Amino acid sequence: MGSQIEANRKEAGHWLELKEAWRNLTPRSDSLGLSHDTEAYFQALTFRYFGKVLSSDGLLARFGLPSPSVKEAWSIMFRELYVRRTATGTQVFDDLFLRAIQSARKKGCGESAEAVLGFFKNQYEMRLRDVVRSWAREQMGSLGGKTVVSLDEPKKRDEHDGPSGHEVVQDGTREEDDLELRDLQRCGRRVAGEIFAEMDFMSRTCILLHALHVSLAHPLVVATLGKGKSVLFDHERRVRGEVVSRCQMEDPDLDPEGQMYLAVAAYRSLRDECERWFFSEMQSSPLFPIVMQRIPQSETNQKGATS
Amino acid sequence: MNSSWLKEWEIYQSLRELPADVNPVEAARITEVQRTVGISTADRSLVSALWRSIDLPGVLSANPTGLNVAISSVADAPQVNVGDVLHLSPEVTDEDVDSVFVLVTEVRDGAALLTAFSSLGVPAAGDELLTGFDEEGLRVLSLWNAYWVPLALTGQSWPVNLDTVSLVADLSTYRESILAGHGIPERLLERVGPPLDHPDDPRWAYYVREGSKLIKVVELGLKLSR
Repeated sequence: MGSQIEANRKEAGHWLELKEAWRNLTPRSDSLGLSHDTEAYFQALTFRYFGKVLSSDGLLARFGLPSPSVKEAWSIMFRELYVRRTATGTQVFDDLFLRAIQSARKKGCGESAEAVLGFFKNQYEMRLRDVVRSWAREQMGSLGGKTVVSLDEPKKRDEHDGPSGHEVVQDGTREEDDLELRDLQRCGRRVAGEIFAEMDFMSRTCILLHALHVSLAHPLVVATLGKGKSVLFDHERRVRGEVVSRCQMEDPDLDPEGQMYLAVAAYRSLRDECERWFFSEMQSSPLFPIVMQRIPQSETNQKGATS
Repeated sequence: MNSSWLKEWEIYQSLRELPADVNPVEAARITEVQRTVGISTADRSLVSALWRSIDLPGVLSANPTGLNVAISSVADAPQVNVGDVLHLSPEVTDEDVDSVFVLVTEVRDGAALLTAFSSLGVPAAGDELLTGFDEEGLRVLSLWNAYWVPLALTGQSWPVNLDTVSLVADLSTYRESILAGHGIPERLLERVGPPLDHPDDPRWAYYVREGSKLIKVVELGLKLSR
């Protein structure tokens, strides 16, 4: 068992060396100057996690990413965590150590070196996932900065399914003076009215709060609605699903763009109904301050700019 | 053109959902079994050495005796100013969320309004703004993800050295325009995301995840103010 203790000490030594080297880095440093053993340890660890992360969920294939070598993986990690994070890079390992020890203590194993080192590795893997994301964005050469999305890569779907994620991120705008669109809007309002009439206090509140981007996990929300956050999230998601399916049933022959427009019209109308109702409902009063703070801002998400 | 936000979100979700490589709790169980049969005595000093090596943030550094340190009083709280960027300590955030960076957007009556930066690099909707910072975790400000927090809690953070003068000015322009009912100012339109109002939009899931980032610090703040 002495060998296990020795192995733990050696491994902990690598982490402490990395942390010390990290602390001593200057903005112009281009390497950490680690001992051969420590560098080999982190090269191997980084390469293993890189391989695991890239092969899981087919990221390599789905996004056409290259597979880095052992040295490249470690070099990417260093570059992304330090060189490219001039403002936040220095705290990376303090944050990592603190999270790891905190997790170990929460799980009741804060005095076990094996457990703490295990949490270090888990936290390191989490940082590596951030790095892979940033690196993937760079590799794909097309992310960052753009705020407009398109229909160019729709997900595979059955023809009877609703619009794809890529489609609904679009603002389905058509000419507002189109007679057909006014019909769709009327239809949307009717669908919303029917759904609203069937909704209870919790559903109406959840729909409004989520539309305003107030977290349903907020302690005041949980206390006011008297349910756990996962129940509230499920409830809200179910109502949104109901809007989509009712709109599909209204006119199954409607083209996908028309379906999208109808769903948007129905959802906007439902949100507005919930908002009007909310302020007449005394049971909601503990949440008034949060909602009032969010209303002007949320309108920008629906209508975009007017100036 | 690319669906930049969606690609980033898909990658983010894929990576977040992966199981961790090791099971530290299982490792601890084995250690415990070893200890009960009289093996291993070296753990405590090793863990102490790791713990001592941390440059603790703010309030924690004043009391480095362990975690779950008592929350300091407002009088003890370090000064924060509008425009400060803070890296919140894991003490005041959930362990399963990413590192949380916030911009201090208002300070009054012993509290600060903290606005979270997004984990993604592309704004999701009209209430997210590209900051102009080219650093992971600081590219987009989630204007909607803002809460008042007692100053005592903001002390549990590492300061991030950034020049935010221009960002704070943009934020003020944005807010004034919205409150006046004029919508998003034209000069900021290129820096925000597209509207969000389809009930089946994948961005709703993003708002659920990001919305949980500041919940722990909000909960601690409510406890503190009771």
